[in-house]
Amino acid sequence: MKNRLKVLRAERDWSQADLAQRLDVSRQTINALETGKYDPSLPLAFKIARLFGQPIEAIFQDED
Amino acid sequence: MAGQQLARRRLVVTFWASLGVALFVGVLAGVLGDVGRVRPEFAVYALVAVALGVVAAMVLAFWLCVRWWRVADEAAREAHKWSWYWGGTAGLALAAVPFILLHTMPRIAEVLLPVGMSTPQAVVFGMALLGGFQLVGYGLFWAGWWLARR
Repeated sequence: MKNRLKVLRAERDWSQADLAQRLDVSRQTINALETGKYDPSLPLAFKIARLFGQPIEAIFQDED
Repeated sequence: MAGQQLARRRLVVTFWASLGVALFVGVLAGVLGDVGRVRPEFAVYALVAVALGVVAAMVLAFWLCVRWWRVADEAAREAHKWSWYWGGTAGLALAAVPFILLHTMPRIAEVLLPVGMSTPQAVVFGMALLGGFQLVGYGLFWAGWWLARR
């Protein structure tokens, strides 16, 4: 699944560690999410959407 | 967020405290085991005490695992679940090789097992081998899961 996490993070000038702290996950998890190699659970996706103030589908795009 | 960090710090403190308790239980079990050897009339009590000590240590370890699981993030949990299933299964499958060899060709034990090994020692060795294969499989698959997501 593609996502705009890296762009959204860069717009706010946050490091991966900053974002990890805000979402209460590890930096490795942020890296796995950004590279599209790990898809978040629904609760985490909602948390990300709330943090960036955008709907989930504006952040995550299904590749199918 | 701060609550989770506090929970993690508490977990670290509890972990070290538990290690201290486990060390105490281990030393006590060792002493009682020796008492059982020196004074055979106390052997049954020593056996029960050691067994209870091991059960207590396992309960403590399980409780720590539950607390750790609650503060682990979802990717870390996913990595462990995946490694438990695939790594554990692969390790078990590999452990089946010596098991089937020893079962079908018992004389091969003379070549594979250390000389002079008693039956109880062989049983313990077999259990350790089984756990070892699963642990190695678990570790390799866990490392592979994270390496694939760097």
